[in-house]
Amino acid sequence: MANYQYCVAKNWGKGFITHDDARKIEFRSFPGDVWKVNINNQDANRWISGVAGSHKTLSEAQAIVDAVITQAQSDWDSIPDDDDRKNPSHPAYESRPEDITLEE
Amino acid sequence: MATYYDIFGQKVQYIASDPSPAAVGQVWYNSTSNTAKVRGVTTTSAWATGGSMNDSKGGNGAGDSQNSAIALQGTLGAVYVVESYDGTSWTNGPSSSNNYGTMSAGGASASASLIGGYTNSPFTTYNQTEEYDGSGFTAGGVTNTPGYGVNACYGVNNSALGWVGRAPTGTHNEHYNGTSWTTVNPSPPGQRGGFLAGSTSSAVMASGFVPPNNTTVDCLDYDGTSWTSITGLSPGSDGIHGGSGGTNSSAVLIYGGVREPSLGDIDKVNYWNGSAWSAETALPSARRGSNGGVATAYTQGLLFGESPTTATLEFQAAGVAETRTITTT
Repeated sequence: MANYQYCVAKNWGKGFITHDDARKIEFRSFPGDVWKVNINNQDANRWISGVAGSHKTLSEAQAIVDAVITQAQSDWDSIPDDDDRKNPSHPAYESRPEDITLEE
Repeated sequence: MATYYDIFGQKVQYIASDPSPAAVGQVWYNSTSNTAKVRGVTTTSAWATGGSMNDSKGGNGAGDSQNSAIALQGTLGAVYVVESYDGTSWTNGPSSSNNYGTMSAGGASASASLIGGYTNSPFTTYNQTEEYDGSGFTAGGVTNTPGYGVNACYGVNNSALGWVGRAPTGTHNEHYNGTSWTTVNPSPPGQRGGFLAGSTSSAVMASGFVPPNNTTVDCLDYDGTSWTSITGLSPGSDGIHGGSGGTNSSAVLIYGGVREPSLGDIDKVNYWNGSAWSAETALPSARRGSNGGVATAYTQGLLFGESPTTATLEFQAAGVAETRTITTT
């Protein structure tokens, strides 16, 4: 049985998630403006409606996240090996974006 | 059954506006909004979204409170316009004179400094200080050793700043009095990349790593003279490039970070009360290199920056009094 539901919603800033929301709902954000919140939860349903979130199935949400991660990995792979961003001892070092698996 | 009057010694007030101040436990009916309200206390910590920055910045911030903070620096070749936060939105201000990479920043919103930094080809580190007074930048003192570092600065304003700049050793410690820098007792050898918070007489260095294998190390307490090893962060929290904030070593918040080389970003939040770490409500997503770390007390903190996100997060601790509307669900 699923514990979470997914939606796509753009964080507009102040008021998008209030402290009160955060105490009632378990939030998790992912690339592509994907948000994971509790399922079968009135507060979570109200929040999705309030932020004009677009409901997504698990597979739809996973596809959105995968697309963003794949692009980020491709961008990282295209960085030359001698670039500072691939040098772990350099302050500009960036690690390769990792795959993310959403949970039901 | 006991009535509200029996318990609280007052009747439920019927008033046109919320009372100020309201006592914890006080209940009233607001006849203007037609809502019943109660003054309660938060039981858990929580993160809310704050106003989004105008540009994503990887680097450092400074500030006085959740309603008064500044983002001072971008990554090398990126945006160098200072942004100020008023608790709701970010506003662009003037640009710094230098645009080096990973300059350190610290202080208060109207008394902050940008320190050091690096450039490439060849890799060069710097020792300049730029002071920010809330409206513009002026040249300050020169550090004794050049360096750089995210959240490498501690202290409350330009008259009392400390800095543990990375490069060449990553342990070089200096104090600033608003005019000149003085070399003081270095942090223990081998510790690099830790993020600092507190004052020049009471600070904490959290986490850090030791190259080449990026072994994480214990945290350190600093009393203005000596460094003392304290327990490490909770498992999975140890890393680099996290946010940090607090004005003394008894109220330090550590936010996020990254576990190198490939262990991923961190969503964990830790609070140091002067004697022990405790886990706070995690960030809604893992996040590294956070500028923010503005926290004047345990009750509030602010997390912002790190490319590519412009999102700001506002921390509210447990035990904070707040007015709530009574609903029937």
